[in-house]
Amino acid sequence: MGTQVTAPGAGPGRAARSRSAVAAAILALLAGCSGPPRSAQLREIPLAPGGLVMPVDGFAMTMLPLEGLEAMEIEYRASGQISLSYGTAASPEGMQSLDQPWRHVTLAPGTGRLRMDFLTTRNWSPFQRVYLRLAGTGQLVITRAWILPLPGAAEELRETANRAWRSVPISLGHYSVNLLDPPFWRVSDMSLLFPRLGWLFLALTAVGTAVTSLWRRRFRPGPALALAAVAVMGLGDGLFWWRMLPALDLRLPAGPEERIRDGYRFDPEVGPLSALARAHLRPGDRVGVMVPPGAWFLWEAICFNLAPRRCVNLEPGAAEHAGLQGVDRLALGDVDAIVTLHSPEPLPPGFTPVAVLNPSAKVARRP
Amino acid sequence: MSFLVATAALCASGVGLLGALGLRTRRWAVDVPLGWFVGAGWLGLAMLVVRILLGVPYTAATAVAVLAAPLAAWGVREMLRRRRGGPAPLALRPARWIPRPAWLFAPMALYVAFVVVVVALHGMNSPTETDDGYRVRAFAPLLAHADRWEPAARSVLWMAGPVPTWVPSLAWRLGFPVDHFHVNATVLATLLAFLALAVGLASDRGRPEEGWGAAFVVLSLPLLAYHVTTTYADAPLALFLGAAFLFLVAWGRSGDPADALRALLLLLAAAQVKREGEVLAGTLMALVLAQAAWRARRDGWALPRRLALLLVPFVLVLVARAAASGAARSFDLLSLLASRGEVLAAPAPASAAAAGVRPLLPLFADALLGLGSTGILYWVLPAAVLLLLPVAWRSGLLPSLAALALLFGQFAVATLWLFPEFTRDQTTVHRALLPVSVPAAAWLAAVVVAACAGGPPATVPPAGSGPAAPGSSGGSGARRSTRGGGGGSRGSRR
Repeated sequence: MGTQVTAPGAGPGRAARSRSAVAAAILALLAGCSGPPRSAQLREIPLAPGGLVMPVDGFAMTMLPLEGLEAMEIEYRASGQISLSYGTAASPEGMQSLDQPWRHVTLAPGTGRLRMDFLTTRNWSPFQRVYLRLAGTGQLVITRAWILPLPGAAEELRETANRAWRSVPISLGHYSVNLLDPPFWRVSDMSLLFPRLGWLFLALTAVGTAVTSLWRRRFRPGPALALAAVAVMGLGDGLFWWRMLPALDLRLPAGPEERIRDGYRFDPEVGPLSALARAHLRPGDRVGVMVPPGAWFLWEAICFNLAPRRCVNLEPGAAEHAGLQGVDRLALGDVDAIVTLHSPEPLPPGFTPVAVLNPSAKVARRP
Repeated sequence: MSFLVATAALCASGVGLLGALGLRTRRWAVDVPLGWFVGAGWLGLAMLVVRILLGVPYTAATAVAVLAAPLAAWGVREMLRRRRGGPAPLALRPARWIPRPAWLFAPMALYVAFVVVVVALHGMNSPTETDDGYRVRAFAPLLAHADRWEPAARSVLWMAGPVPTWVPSLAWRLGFPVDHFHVNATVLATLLAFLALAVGLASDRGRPEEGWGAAFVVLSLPLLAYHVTTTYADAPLALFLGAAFLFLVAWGRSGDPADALRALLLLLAAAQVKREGEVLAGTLMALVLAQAAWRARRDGWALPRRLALLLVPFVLVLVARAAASGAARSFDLLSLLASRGEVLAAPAPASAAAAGVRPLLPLFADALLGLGSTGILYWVLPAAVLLLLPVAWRSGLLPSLAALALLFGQFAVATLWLFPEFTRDQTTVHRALLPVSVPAAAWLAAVVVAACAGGPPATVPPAGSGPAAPGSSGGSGARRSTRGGGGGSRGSRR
């Protein structure tokens, strides 16, 4: 049974048949490169007196001078609407990817503590540096930080990585409607869980059929197949939900406005800004959305949340602006209100902000 | 609350249509969830004709008239039946609701309940944030509500299909506020309707194990469990096809043409979900009609005209969608097939030949067996087909297996030949498998339960030569009682 799969971190956009960076790194370790002696506990690292301050207006990335980490925990103070993505990378391009598995968390304003496990991040390598990528508007201040270095022995590292990948919660992202994070059995040799469950099912069916056939002196595979299927499916279900439940929002649903405001997981500002706009715009308003060039998710999600109002993406210099699927087409002169999010362009003349989420996210309309 | 009102209205309309066609089972546990599917199909078809073909604006009055029409037709049918003084409907046989053994099915039922709660909560808490959702699937109902059908909007309708377009917008059209989460609720309601139909139908036929088994297997498909929390239409298409398969399986056993008619009605509804629905459901309708013709000839009963007449609304769906978006766009699959054929017919250099089907097979196998999107379904299914083929033959499950093979064949052609890039990069190949997997789960549960029950199924004659005896309001007529969980029935042979 072929277990050649898209390597962890290669993402659904690339069908890499070659070994992943994870497997390559572990193989290198097996070949004799040994890491530093492993600490049994997290080790606090000293920070500057005010902590590590990361303001963000749009997005901001920081590559930390830390390599060879299994995990890192931080105590932080957050303000604004921000989300944090993390992993290891060798270049700025590597820090920007939202491909699978995309480890990210939305940080609520206030203080908190967060653990970041790096072994299960995209394209992890012990030779790459840790990065933090913020999106939104606000500030993250890391007040304290602890690191957990990798195990020194190759065998221990391999088993640590395997355990981490078996239990890591699924990370939901834009790609999840196509493929949920594949469950690994042993990431060190890229073997997956479900083929093993499949073989287990076949083995149980064969053994059960043999036993019942000998006992009843008649070939009757049905009961053995049924019990094996239910048992192994049940096992697979349990393993799946164990990893899936932490990713789900299981609160009792509030009203639709609250759910729009709080429910967007892929961007920290789209939900609150959409809710703000819905509260301040009239049902018949024709809306223009201003976002950075190429930021299709931002304007499309906002226009969707404002529908059935007519809504378009205001592109600089265009005579006519188009909305979702080109259904709406409006000139700037037809627009009654503007929603702007991190747009590099100023508000057109004649529009006055009526609601402000933050300095980069506003709702404006003609007086 | 508003969505519940719309759901009730849709179910009532669907039950009305079943009654007007003489296809009610007279078991509310079956007719209500069946009414959801049938009502959704009716609403989609009616709005295609009324709004797109005839140009009648989509108002509250239009929606109420469309919903009420089947109920009125049912009332007229009942009135005529009573005037003619036809025989009273035959008594229903007692259903069996508790599956056995309890130690096996109780955990399965708890699992089903757990998943339903979890996906319902997450689904209702999740605003649409994936691109195909807010560009097409969840956007189409908003366009329907705004009653905007300029050419660009019609292309959205063409992609989404009539059922996902008009069903979520029903509550808004009836006067309730626009709520974007009604799209999520529609998908979840479709899941609930499928589960209820699977359990209700199987219990009605004396085989509750089959219904709970199908529910358990369907909810053991990880990607489906996630998809029902989104606003994508892959899960609804899979569930509509799955509902049709429940009746295909039942028809294989009972030989009752009423079950074939119900399956065709459900396929007609499935044809209105996504572009792919037309192709998948259309080919299955053709297969079912061919099987019905063969069966009628073999068993010596007249092929009910209504079976063939159900092709008429299917053609209407095609015509209306072509009118909505243009003939060339409506049949882009044919032009795609033609263009692929031209490419294959042309002499290809060695490098191009290497980009053929063979390199895709390991990726195809990964999608089925390795990456976990469908759990271990495609490990269990081939084993069941190989080991339980004699049981399937004795239990009348071969025709539905043929239908399943047709679905799988179309999936294989699409992912290996028409759109290999999506197999190469492991994207849509997984959700393209969902419309095969839910019907497969229904078939698998049926054959496994039949195998566990043991012994050949009881043979009973079909219930008359048509869907219902003249003057009866029931759809299936009398059915012989069966014991336990495996006693099936099939048409008599002469």
